[in-house]
Amino acid sequence: MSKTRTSPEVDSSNEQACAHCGLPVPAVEMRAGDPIQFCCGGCRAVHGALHECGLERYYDLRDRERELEASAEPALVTGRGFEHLDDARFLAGQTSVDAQGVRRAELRIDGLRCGACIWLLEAMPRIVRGVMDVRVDSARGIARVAWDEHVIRLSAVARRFDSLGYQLQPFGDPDAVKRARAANRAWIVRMGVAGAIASNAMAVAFALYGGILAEMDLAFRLFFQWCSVGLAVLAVAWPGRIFLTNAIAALRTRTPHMDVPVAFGLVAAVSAGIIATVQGTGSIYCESAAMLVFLLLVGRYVQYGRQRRAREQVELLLAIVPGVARKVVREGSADAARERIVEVAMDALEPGDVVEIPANEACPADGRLLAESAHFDLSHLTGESQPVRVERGGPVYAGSRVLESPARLEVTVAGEETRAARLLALVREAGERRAPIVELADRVSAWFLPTIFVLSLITIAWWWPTLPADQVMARAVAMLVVTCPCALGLATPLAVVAGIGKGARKGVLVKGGDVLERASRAGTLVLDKTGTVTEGRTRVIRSIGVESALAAAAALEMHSAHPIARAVVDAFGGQAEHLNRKAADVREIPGLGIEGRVGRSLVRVGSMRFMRERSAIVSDEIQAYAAECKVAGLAPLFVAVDGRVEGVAGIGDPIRPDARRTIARLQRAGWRVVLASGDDPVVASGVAKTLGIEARDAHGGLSPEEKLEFVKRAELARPVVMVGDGVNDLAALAAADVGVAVRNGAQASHHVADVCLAARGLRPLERFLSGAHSTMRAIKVNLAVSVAYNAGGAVLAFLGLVNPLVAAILMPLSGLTVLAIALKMPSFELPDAEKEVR
Amino acid sequence: MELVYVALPVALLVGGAALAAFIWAAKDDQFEDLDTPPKRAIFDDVALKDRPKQGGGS
Repeated sequence: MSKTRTSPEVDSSNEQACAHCGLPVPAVEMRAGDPIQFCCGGCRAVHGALHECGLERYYDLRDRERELEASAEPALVTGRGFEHLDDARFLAGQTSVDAQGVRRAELRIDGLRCGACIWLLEAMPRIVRGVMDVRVDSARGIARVAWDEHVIRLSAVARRFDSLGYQLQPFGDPDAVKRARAANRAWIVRMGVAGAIASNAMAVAFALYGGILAEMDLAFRLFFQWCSVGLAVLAVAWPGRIFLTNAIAALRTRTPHMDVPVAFGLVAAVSAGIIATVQGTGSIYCESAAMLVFLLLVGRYVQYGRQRRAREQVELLLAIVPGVARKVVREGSADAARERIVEVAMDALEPGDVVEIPANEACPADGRLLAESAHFDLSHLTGESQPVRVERGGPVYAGSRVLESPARLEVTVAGEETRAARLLALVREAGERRAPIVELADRVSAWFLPTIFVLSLITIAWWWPTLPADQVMARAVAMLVVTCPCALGLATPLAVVAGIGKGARKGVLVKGGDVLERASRAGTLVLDKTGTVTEGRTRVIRSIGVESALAAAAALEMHSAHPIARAVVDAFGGQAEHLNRKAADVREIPGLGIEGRVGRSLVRVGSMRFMRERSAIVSDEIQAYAAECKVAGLAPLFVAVDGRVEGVAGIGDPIRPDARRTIARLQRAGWRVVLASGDDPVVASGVAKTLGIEARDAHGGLSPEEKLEFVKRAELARPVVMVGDGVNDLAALAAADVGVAVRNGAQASHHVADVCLAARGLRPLERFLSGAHSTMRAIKVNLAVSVAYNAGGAVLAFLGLVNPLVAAILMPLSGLTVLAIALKMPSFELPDAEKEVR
Repeated sequence: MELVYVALPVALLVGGAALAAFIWAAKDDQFEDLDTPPKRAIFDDVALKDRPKQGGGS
């Protein structure tokens, strides 16, 4: 073995980058002599389409954007027909048309990545005749399209979008989208009105307290008081009404609710103000009520926004299953039957129907396979990373994708009863059952008004016997103003919003403050193997052997579509080309390997069993290396040339380079790290061992339902943070205390998860956990500061050291202090150890 | 000082007008998508090269 070469890791640094998406180009896709290369057919097609249309500027914009968001995804071109978008029922129900024949529709759009996509899509009217206008809402993945019915059909527009890598889809329930939008609008109006009233009430209050100091005439004082009372009544009756109705509903159903003390406080403050003004004596504290309405609404809106996103995105899940099916209809008599294919809505399918599934499309229903055999990609459903072969009559599930060739299916279960639909039901249920966390600000401020009332009463009662009445009242007013819950009400929302903003800039998208609160303590961290800990792609990790033998293996494997074959071609295809190796008489032996002629030699590639059955000679060196591979959790693949094993390749899903160290750090921080994978249990425990995860915490072969059960297990330390990126993880993501999805994973997983990480790997996860921790610390510091401020202010007011004017000026200062703390607190930083290594 | 009897209602009316404008903007869904418009603003429009427009389909 003179030319033996050991490669500990396949070198990937000299890989060429895809001209469209920037990802490395795999060897199979390499085209010799071409200055521009692509990672896949999708990218090639989109690149071509962009140049054809003169839209090269997309790349300039994208490169500028990419500095902000470091994410790359290959483009997806489905080549579908989109005929269901021309369906009369859809057009009538979900689109509108004006007198000129311009139709408008609101559609979901997949494939948005960055700002350049917005530019590209909105430039469509200039490229495609008949498209009048495209407006993209990138936050929600919505495109509003207007097109001229007489010139172009919507399906043609959708095909054009598809050719650029974007897919249009109708909404499952358009009314729900409209309802959510109306509710959001109501919240914004409520908040804006409350803010306007509160600031005006504060302005009037300034005049009022300033006037008291300057001994203003009673007439003017009453005028200001009436204005103040009027504004407070408006604040409570209009935007603040929600607290009153909530409280009344809570009282009726006798369920304790935070809004009850809030409502009581608001009503008490306003009525006391009215009484004082009518009698012309005493002080009023209406601006406190107006301010409280505003601050509480801000806190509520933050919470509402998160819930809305979670709810509306569950809708998007339905996209796993196509909305239309191609039904095979038999016509004529039994012996002279003719077949015809009609597109029907998925809901119209019934057991017994026969449907055809185009290659690479998802099944619309559960059923039995009618073809001889076919390969299915179940990764959406079960997380199994390898294609599964189904024989005639075997079960096929809705949402699984048929690979390579079209297949026919006899429907056994359709609609709500399919496995995918039941999984979605589990997701919804899990999402709803999660106990709502009452914002900390609410909890504190609910007891706030009663407390300051009591404090002012104590002030009055204490000083009444010894001081003149007007001085007593001045102290009481100072008490009310100085303890205005500005800082307290803002402490939590500000820290949360600042934390979420800092996270977003660092690629961690958190959907709400309660998420940060839940993830701030160390608990159980459940990791999905594929894609989170590993790269999610079968590769040759290490190899040993004669170069020419490995090249021959690649030449042979070029004839197979098996993922292992692809990995071998990726690793050694270049050499095969270089040495000009071609294979002939190739025969694939299922489950064992592949054999054929390369040049004049007989070459076999496969498992140890295959080698033994063909009685190939295996040297000790090869044996030892294979054993080494197994220990490392890799599957050894042998290459025999003329009956003698001359090479071994360790095949596996490579573990991310940062995984082991990150997990060790998390374990030191108190997290129990658990591996829950849909892959083979042996592989899972091998990966766990490499990562330093205890054997009892490595679980493989879990179905989506089992994953859900696993996450809900009571004995796991709370909080349970679940990380995953497949559709098979959805239910578990929704049920976990905190679900973390990784971008580039299944689209739907982003929507269910509480947190989205912009990059794969565990480092962003660590960033999120440390961010959650520091945000909670900021909240606590903020609460402590504002409580201390209010307590100190109350003591000073009680002693008469604060006059109303000074108090009214000082009060916003506490809010500013809290704001400064929230913004300046470092957050979402990586641990120092990591920085040193980098 | 009597000026406040006029000034304050006028101030409130001006504030009310601003509030009405805000409510109109909210009802017009201008606060629905806060991510896209800032990105749209950086696409200073360069005229596309003159090319014949194509019908749809591919």
